[in-house]
Amino acid sequence: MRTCTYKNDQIGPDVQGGNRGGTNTSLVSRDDSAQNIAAGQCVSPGSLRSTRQVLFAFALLLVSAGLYGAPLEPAASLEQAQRQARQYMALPPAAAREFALGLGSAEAAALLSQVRTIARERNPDVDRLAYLIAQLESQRATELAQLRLNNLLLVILLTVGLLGAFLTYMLFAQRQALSRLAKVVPKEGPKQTAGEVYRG
Amino acid sequence: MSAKVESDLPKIAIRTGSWWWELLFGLFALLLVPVTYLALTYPPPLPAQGQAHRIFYIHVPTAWIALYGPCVGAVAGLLYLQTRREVYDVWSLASTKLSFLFAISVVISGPIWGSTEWGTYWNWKDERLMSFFVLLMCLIGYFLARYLTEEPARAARFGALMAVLAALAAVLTWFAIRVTDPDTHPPSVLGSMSPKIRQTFWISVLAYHLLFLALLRLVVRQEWLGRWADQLESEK
Repeated sequence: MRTCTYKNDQIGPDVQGGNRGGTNTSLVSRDDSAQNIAAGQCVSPGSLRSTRQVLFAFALLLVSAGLYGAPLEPAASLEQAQRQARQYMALPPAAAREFALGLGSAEAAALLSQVRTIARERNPDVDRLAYLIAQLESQRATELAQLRLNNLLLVILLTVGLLGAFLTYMLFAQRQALSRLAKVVPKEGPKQTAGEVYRG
Repeated sequence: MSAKVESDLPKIAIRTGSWWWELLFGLFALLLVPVTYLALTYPPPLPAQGQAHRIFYIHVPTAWIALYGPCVGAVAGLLYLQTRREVYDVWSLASTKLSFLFAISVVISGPIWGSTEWGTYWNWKDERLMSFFVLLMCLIGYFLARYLTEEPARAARFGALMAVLAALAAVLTWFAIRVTDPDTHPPSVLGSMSPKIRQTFWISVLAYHLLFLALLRLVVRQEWLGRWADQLESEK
């Protein structure tokens, strides 16, 4: 079988983004068969013209499904991400900050990727800045997470310590009261019923 | 109001020593251990606060008890002023003691939490923080009034009045974030919690309230024992 190589414009705009543009080896076998069918190399010379046309149409349908069907969704989201990035770049700084604060990590990563692509067209050195910002933010996030964890542990430790100290004080105070009672209560005990004797 | 001070000793003090009560209240206190583990593992970390948001499961339940406690103390104090029965004075004192303990816990956990989230430990312009500070001062005032007064009946009366004052401060603190817009302290989040956070929060609230009951019983018993010893020593 021949190996077919498609140019971007042959595949269509929906699959040009990312690594789906250019040569797409996963599409070779299906596409190759279709071309063979289209070229009439895989059908017998005695076939009817109408049959060939039907097969050609069917093959085109298969090729279309193979080429355009699967990557549609990612391509659509890519377009959406590119459009979102352009909108984001057009926002005033305060609104952009507000928008960025509401993003999840996956959304922020996708948007950043597109924004970098746009920014790279204006300034080729933007990646150097991006690396530095990424490193700084990563370090700061780690330090802040550690600080927050330390605070959490400190709160737990102090709360447990406070409750433990209070319980210890109460137990000692109780022991002291019982000791005082043991000294003043006569051996036969106070005049009271059996059900009222303290057992705590 | 009756001027006669009735003594409930010793019949109340000695009716607290049943083993199954010991077991039940021991379990109440121990419930805090699995609940703390749950708070550390079950709810996901919040993006804005990371792991620090887990302080919430300690800070808020203890704050609630620090606010309820003075109200319990005030009701008991008012009953004492009405009836002059010692049992109400003991309940008022025990409840206020525990309120003070939990209030200390709140003023420890709050500033530590705020240090990373607000960038400061304390804000003197924040209505919620200041109203809680007033509550703390009222609780300290309760103990000063109580322990600096020698005559027990007068100390109990002063204590009852201070308990009412502390309860007013507690109510003021409760409404501070609901009627004003505090400078730093966030508003109530009761209606906006995610399911996992809400479940963990209510379990924590339950555990701390059971701990409060267990400690209340312990403090009441200790107070009765001390008074019983005082009475017997004075009779001897």
